Amino acid sequence: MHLDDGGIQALLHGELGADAERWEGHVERCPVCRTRLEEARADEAELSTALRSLDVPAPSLSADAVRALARGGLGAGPRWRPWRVAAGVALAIAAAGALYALPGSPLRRAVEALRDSPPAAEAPAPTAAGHESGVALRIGSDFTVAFDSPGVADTVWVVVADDSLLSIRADRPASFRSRPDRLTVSGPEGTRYRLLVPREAPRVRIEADGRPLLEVRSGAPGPELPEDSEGARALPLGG
Amino acid sequence: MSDGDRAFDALFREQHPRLFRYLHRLGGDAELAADVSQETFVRLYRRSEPPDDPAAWLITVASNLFRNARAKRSRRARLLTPERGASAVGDAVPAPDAALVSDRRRAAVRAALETIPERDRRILLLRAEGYRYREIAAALHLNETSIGTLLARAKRAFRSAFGEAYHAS
Repeated sequence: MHLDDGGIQALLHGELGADAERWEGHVERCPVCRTRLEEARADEAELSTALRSLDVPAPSLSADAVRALARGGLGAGPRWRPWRVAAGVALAIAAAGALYALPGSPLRRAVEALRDSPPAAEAPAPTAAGHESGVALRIGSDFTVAFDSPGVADTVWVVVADDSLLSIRADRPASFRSRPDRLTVSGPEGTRYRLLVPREAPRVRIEADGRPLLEVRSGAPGPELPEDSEGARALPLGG
Repeated sequence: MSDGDRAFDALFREQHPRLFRYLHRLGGDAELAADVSQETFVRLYRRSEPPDDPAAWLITVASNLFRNARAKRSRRARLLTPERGASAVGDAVPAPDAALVSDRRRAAVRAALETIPERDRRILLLRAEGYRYREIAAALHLNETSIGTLLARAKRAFRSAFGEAYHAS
């Protein structure tokens, strides 16, 4: 009795379990099965080579970035802890700005944009798995987050976080353009944003259509905005 | 860093590259593969408890996300590569003839994958990433004992489709 096709595959992949020893012994004695196993092994190597020809480098994404996204997501569920939001994904640009696309953003385009060091890198687009969007970036000592033409109902919740990256997440597809000292955000009417400002950032300014709305200095957003029970400060962008 | 975060880091390092590679091979869209693999790990982190079988959980969730996302992007679906950046950084620039052969071969691989039944494609690609039969069976809702047989069938289907695509190009 010979191994069938499935058995040959299972033997090749070490999946025969308790029967492995018995079948290995059989293959040693059986030229038919031995030949088929060798053919299967060669076939597998050929398949592997063929599939590798499709491969592209994986995106540079860190576990820290994933944690930041998971914690920073709007409506993220029980794990959402606004004051403990950690850093996000980052692709460093030498001096200051680094843009990184969150879920739904074209990662490769963002990487290429950064590599080419343009004045601004787009990171927009509908998400692959929902409609949220966002970016995380490493910022310099003086940074501005500018909302472009916000709708009257648009609101940003500002949270100071023990983190090294500034990140922002929108509950709808928004676009983000970064420069070393500035991030310009544009989203559809009614977008809610959650902006996470690193506590250690010396100065972060928030503007809407050129109007200064808030300045966060060394983690202190000023007393004029009361924080909610989660430590977030709601800042209306419209009007 | 907590024990949970350390465990998550280890899992991420081990599983993210292969999940991305699997999704990219499956759909031929690196952007989509990056988005879906990232979102899958975000969802994993948001779980209050780690899944019993993380690899199988990751494949299952990623497959569902991938299917939904791909349906939305169907108008942009591309059946054939090559796409930009398809060769790894640092590869030698092939001679024109070699590049032609390489492109033709790559296109044939992609076409063959698109031709064979979806279940065959998934089994083939998951096993190529080193997933265990138990994990493949869990992710694709199959009986573990049938994976070897299905895999042999999928390989035959791929080999046949590849030959046809290559010679037709």
